[in-house]
Amino acid sequence: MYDILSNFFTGDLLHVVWIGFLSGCIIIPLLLSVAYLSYAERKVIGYIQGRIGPNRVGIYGLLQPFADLFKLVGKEIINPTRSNTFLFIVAPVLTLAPAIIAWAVIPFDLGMALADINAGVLFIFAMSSFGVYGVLIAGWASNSKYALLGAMRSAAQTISYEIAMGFSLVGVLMASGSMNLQKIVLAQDGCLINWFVWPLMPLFLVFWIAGIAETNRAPFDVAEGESEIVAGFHVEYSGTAFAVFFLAEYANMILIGVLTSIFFLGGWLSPFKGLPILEDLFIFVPGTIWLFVKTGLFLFVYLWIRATFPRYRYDQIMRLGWKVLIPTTLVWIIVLGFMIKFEISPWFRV
Amino acid sequence: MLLNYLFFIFASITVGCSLMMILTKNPVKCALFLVVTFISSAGVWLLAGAEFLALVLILVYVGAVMTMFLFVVMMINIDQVESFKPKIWRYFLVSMTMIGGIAYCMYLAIKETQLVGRTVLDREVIDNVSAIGMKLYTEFGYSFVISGILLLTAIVASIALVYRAPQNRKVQNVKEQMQTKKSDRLKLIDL
Repeated sequence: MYDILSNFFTGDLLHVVWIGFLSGCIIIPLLLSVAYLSYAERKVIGYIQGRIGPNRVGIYGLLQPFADLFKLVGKEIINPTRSNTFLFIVAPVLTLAPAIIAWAVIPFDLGMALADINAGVLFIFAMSSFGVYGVLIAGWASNSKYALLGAMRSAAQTISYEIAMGFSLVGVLMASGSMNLQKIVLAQDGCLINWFVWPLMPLFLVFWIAGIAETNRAPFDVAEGESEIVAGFHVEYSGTAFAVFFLAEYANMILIGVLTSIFFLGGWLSPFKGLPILEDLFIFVPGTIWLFVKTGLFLFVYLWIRATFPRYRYDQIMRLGWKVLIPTTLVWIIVLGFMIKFEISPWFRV
Repeated sequence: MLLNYLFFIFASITVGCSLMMILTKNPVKCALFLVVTFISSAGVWLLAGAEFLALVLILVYVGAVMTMFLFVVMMINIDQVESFKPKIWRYFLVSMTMIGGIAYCMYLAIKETQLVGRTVLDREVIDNVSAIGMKLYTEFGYSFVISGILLLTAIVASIALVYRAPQNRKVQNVKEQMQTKKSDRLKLIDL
């Protein structure tokens, strides 16, 4: 990472501009997918509940996200009395920024990462631990009881589930022997039987559940539980500031989806690599598309879970995090150690 | 070299925010200034080539420790705390003496070592994480285990301090809750 930084700044300015252009190439499609993820959410949940969902704006309601966006941007940002104005405005930005920064190290294909750093996993983890500050600051700066309660819940939940998430990543690190995201993907080279999802199945489930809890999505959405504390940490937010919170939540969802695909489902690798007929049939599909398909699968499961499960009670969330998920990861790390020691094929060959 | 300017930017943010942390009266703002201090010192470490330490600093101190701090501080009644005005000048002499003492100790400690152009880890050969791992599990193995045991003691002690004996406590019986059937709670009557 030092070398990358020094190349950044000792090299010419053109290089910095080029990096800026590349980040634009990541951020703009990301924001577009956030818009259409919100559309997909309303459609999918609508059909699950026997409704049609948005169908008025544009053909099949396809322009609905933009209608929502313009509505939100056109609204007034109301500043509550005795709130801390600076922190109140900064909080949504603090939520969105880490959700976008983390994309810098995501490899979309072999060699297609903005920054191919050695400590990629740590970087992503550090960035995701920033996210809770936006929520905490928003809750505190709003000078509202409901907002503060929501922020407290969110902080407690994030801290608890970060541990389980970290431990499940330790398993991935052990299996791949690297913290570099590209090397983690390459360690799963081969057809779909070589992916880490099979030997690390419990860690995969823990990572996925913790990921849902980290993004404060249903059934772990006590931080904004409408029925108890109105909307939690963002009760007082309106207009653009609310839109930014919304963006951050969905960007985080997509990030968790991509990360799960990279860590456990072989990232950009084709599931049919090395299989006799299927490989030739799907040889034309580029790796990036495979990554997007896998991510889309997880995003659909996000929506499916939201439409299916009722919200957890606060004590149930804590029990699940501390007494179920963390022990599971600890046990499986030991099992994994034995699996690596005795070189269980086809995953852990020398 | 732009990298040097970057160092000065991070260093001045670190110093400025740590000063603000002491001088601000509102405890929540103090904690937030401390967070910024941590982040900018992580930036300084990153420039020094210690990427692992920098990211772990953010991960552990910013991500976990300071979140807990903020969690507690936000619960405190702010008005009460703000009415407490520290008398800076009263303790000026004492604090300056202490700062002088600490600075002298630091000077004694680093007097002999050459700081410029010396890196702890050989960055060319191996990456940061594996290099630290190698050192930790071989050369400093015993100290590593001992610090682990110390932390474990701390965990056990803190649990022992807050543990209340399970008498007259109204807690949910999870097993019972999970095994509840519809017939236990619902009675259907023919009308």
